[in-house]
Amino acid sequence: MGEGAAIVGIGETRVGKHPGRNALDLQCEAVRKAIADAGIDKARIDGVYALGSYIQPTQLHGLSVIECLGLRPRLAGVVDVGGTVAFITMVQNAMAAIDAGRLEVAVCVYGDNAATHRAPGTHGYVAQMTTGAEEFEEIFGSSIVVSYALLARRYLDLYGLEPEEAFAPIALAMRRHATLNDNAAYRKPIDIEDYRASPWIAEPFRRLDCSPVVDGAGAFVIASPRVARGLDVEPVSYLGAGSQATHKIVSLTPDIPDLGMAEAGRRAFAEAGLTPGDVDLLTVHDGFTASISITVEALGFCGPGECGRLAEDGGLGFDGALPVNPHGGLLSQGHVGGMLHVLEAVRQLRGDAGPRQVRDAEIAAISGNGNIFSICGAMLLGKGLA
Amino acid sequence: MTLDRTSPFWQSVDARAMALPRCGDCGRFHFYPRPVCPECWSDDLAWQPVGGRGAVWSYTVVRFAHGAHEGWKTRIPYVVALIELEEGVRMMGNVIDCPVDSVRAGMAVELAYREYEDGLIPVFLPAG
Repeated sequence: MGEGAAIVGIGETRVGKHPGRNALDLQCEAVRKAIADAGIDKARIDGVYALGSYIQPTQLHGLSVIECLGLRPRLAGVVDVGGTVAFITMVQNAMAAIDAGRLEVAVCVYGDNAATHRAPGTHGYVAQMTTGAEEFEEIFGSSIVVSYALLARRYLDLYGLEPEEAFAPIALAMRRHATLNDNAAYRKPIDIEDYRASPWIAEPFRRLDCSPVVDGAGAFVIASPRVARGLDVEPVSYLGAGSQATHKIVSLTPDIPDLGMAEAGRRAFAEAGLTPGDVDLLTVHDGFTASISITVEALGFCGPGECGRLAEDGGLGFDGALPVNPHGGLLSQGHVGGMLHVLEAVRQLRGDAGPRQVRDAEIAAISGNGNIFSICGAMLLGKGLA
Repeated sequence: MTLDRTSPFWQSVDARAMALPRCGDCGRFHFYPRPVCPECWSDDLAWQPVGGRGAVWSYTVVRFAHGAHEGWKTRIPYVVALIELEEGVRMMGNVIDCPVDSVRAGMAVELAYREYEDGLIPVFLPAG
């Protein structure tokens, strides 16, 4: 192993609706902002890791990005394994390439125009494009929401919980955070009565358990420590990461305790030489409220079935014992695939998070799952150069 | 597009005798149909009719029309469940002909067939 790598620049578009722009336009804006934030010449970008639109899929997306921005990297690839794990995988690949001396500066980017360009009559991401087994699920009226609802129902049954105790406090905690983020799409404060009045989508999920899709994009720059030392920016170091793939479609999902998340977390903590007790904040891929419960519990931050209680007691607040998604997460900032979860972790470790700043944030964990907990990933970042 | 790998499944459903691929080497069933036995990689797969008995592993009542399937959007509320068949595989299916609020994990169900706009599809009814 060499010296590691550091994230030295972040950039994001406004989240919301950008009807006249496609995913490529949004991604190019995010890359320009990230490179400007790093204060680095674009000619020094020698790696590009990108993920294109799920709503309007295209081929060879990485080449579209480099061409639009006039980049000439040695490496340009697409990483497509789903929510937040795609970006953890981008970092793992960039980190390995930097560590081996093959690259010095890479940019990682994702964004989509999911709110304004989705097919008429559909809501959210359409399972047909993502699961690849629509012949054996979509004919039963399934969807991404249905898939997660099936997992969430299993979670509630396993631990003897009701949605109002397990999930509502999480929805409320994310919304409270979004009120502190001027780049969040859903900032109107909500309380438990709003949750109870929220219509059922697919039980046990109400609308407020589901993350709304938005248009938006984010990007970050990752560089060797040698490059990072020459920049006028607070670096955030890669400390460790782990992932575990198990299946693709929901009917083949392992039971909750056997999902890949616990193993992904063990690998990340082992590589970093840290334990959950060392973590100052988490960003967790939260396509649904239940995603946070399952993830936080599997990573060992609380016991099985306990996340709702932790949220109810304020524990997930940016000012709580275990801050989760101070930016409001997918649930209230809006669904940008989890890319903004990486950026929020960096912002927090830099101390730049304004009214939602976690005090003395030095170690952040980023965790997510692609598709229906089909692949799970966790990554640890630390303030300054390692 | 008709695939050699999956079309026998739909033919068996059309014949009201749903069959799943079973491995001739390790004996395991699997669903959905894959190019080899995903456990032991044997190519020796044969289609074998299932007994039709199973239990609900998890379920959801869909109350908001969404997703990509136009037919189901007209049938809310409806139940989508994951059913564990006695052959040791889990498949998605709709539990029908019972109140949507009556479905629970562990509930015994039996295989049936129902004509919808896609043609005949496998469905599950409360057993008994």
